[in-house]
Amino acid sequence: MELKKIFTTYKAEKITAIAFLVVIFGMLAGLFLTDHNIKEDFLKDYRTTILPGTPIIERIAGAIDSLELTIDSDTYKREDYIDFYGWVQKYLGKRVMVDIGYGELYKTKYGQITYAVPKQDVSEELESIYQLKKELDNYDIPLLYVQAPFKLTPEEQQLPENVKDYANENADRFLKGLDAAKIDYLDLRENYWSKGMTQNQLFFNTDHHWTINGAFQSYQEIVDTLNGEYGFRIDERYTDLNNFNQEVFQDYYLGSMGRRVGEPYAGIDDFTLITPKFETNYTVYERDYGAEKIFEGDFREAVLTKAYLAEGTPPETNRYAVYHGDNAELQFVNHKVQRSKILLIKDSFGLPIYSFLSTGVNEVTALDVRLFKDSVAEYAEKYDPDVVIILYNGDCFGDHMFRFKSR
Amino acid sequence: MLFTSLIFIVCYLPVVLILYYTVLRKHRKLQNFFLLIASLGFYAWGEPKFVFLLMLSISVNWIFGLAVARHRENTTWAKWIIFIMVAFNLSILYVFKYLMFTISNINRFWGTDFTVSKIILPIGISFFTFHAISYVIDIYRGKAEVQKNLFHVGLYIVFFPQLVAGPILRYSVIADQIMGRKETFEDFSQGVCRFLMGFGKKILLANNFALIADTAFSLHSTELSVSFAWLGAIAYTLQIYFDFSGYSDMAIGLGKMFGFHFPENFNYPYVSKSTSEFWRRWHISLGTWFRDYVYIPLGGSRVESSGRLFFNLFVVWSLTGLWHGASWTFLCWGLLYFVSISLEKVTNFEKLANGQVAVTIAKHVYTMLLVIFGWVLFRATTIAGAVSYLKTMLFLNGAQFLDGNTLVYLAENQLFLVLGILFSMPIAKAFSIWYEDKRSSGSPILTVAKMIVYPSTLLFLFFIAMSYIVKGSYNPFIYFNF
Repeated sequence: MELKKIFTTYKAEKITAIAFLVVIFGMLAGLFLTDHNIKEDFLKDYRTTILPGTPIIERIAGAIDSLELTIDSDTYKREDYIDFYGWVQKYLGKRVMVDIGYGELYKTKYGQITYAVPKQDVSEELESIYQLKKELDNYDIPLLYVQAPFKLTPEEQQLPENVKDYANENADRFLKGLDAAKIDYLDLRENYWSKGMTQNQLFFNTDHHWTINGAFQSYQEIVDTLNGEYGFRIDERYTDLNNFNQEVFQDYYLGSMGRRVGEPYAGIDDFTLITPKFETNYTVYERDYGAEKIFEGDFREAVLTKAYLAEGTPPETNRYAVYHGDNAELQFVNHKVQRSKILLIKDSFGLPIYSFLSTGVNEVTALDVRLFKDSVAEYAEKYDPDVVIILYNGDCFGDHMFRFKSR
Repeated sequence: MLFTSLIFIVCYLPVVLILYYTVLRKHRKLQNFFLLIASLGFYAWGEPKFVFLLMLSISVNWIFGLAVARHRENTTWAKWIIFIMVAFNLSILYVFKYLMFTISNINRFWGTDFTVSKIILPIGISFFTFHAISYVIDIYRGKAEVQKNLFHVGLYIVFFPQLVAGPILRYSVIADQIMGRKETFEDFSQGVCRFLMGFGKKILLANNFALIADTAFSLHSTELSVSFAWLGAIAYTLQIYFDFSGYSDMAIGLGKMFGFHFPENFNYPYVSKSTSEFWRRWHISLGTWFRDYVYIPLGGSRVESSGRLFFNLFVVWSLTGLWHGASWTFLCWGLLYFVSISLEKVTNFEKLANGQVAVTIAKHVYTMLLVIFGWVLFRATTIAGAVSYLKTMLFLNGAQFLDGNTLVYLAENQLFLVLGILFSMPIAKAFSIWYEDKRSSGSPILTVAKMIVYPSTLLFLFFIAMSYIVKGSYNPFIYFNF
């Protein structure tokens, strides 16, 4: 009776209030009932940001920041909220979205999600590569810089008209600097968009990386250069796509850009896995922080990290990293080929590249200088490769990618 | 902590509500003490060290309150206490808010080289200082009884809904509610709805307008087109309204959830037909505070000479400007209203040709232009920046008329702009009146429709706003200067 009376006036407001309470208490409960371990996440963040001996007030402020960060990242139904956000943006016809990490994300005229690269001063990067070149010259090791493309073409305005992307301009200035110092480079951008594949086939819609097919096309061009100008004799069968399996996984991959704006907005990518049809036999060494992991077997067993394609994994899984990624030092020893060694300094665009390159040479070792802290030149002297290749995409300047000295 | 943060929505608010309405339900004093502690925690979340300043302000003003109540009959003593209290509160405000500004201007104009280390402004200092002053003066004037309980004074000064962005509460309005309020589910429900409306205003409208305004005001004059300057100024006009009134809605709503009834702070200011009317509708709690504690004590409008009237207005509007921040732009913004309101008083502007449609439209256009130009002054970081921006708006900078920024930001925000302009007018209010009229005439369909549409709409907007917060979209806090 009492309840009936309560609801006779301001019913709509009361229904709203009850629903609101259900939502906020549900979210509070959800924080503790999901897979996330709030306490662990909080302590992890707190311990990495607050050093022992920090004054008490700063420690409190640090704890508050860490807790807030933990709540933000462990919010109940976080992914669903982001999907809902994406759905709303889609129906609002938005092409520009604010993003904590990138400032803004854009939907291009091809429906792809990307960020824009700001103008960068490349002089420090040039100075750094000049030094490396000088040291490698002392050891008689040739250096080839490979400019991988950024997601946006140099000629076409794919972004909203008030936004300018400087990735290609930055890369142009950098290559001009290499020209002036007579350092060899291969600019993959020159041919990348003109070989018949469309923008959507060359780059993932939901990720900032090139597709595996796009990477394979660039791999062929790199091999042509190595054979033509660096005395390599990589057999044609290793670059002929007909000698590779192509497994297409439909609606399978939500890349890093897509994860930021939600699947309803970004859509979902197909993922093509390219693996050799021919016989392979590898030993792969993965070295991080002084520890080593060894993988043995054929290309699928040793080179691929198949967990990224495991059955039942959600599309948010980083499929791109199936080509074995993000280690300080990664060495592929191909027991089926007995000649040539390549030392590759790479960013994430290098993942499929080193995997494919490893099929045609005896050894490829890849270093990621964001994680590798020793001197690249000294490493090269000991390793004695036939060539040192630096492969970076157009968004690599101003981001500690050129720290080649020991630190 | 901000009302629009995840930690507030999914942790702070549910925890405070559940403790308040369960274990403390039948203990008013404990409830008040708990709300005080919760409010101090709310403040400490963003400013741990300044919580001690807040506690100092509470304690000292509580003593001033006791002292002035004791000596109220002795005018001389009481006046001295009031003088010391005002000096104490304004000194705190001055040191934290205006000292750096003063020193930098002394150095600038007299060529001196005084140095003062950077002083961080405690958030909400102007609000809690004005609360404290109001408390002691209201006791002095006999408008409220002295509060002997220190924690209750503390609760009045720092109650979290109004702590960082107002409204500025008068002690006389709140005094009886501290012990005598009655929480009802009806009030609670209305409070939730009011909170949700404010939440939506802030996240969905104000924050999107902020993106446009912040871009426009960050551009160099050579990069700013005439159209984008106008779009930026209009966006800021909408941003500050929906942000500030959204915060006030949230504060009023949260207050109601705990049984408090706060006064309204905004009343559709952009429908005003004079700047005087604008200030009766904009940040009402600040305008009335200055009216009652500065303007009227100075003599108000009932003074013998027009010179004295203008002096009184000058003082009030200079202080109003400076209250918003220690900067020449805020002072000039305040003085702009001193000039316009003085002229309106002299010309009897508000009564001029009332009832004629063309005149009404002209008055509205004049008011909105002045308000928009005023916001440019308010938003710019320097006077020179404001002048340059205004010159672009008025085609005096040689800037191109249209550019990509205008087209893109218009296309991206067209719905928000339309909704912003519509909801800055009393459309929702008119609809509500129409609805109640129809409903009371006995239409059951309308009653049922409201029961479905109203909660669904508010919750749908709440989920959209939450998705923006979870996504981490742009969510500026614009009251750091206050």
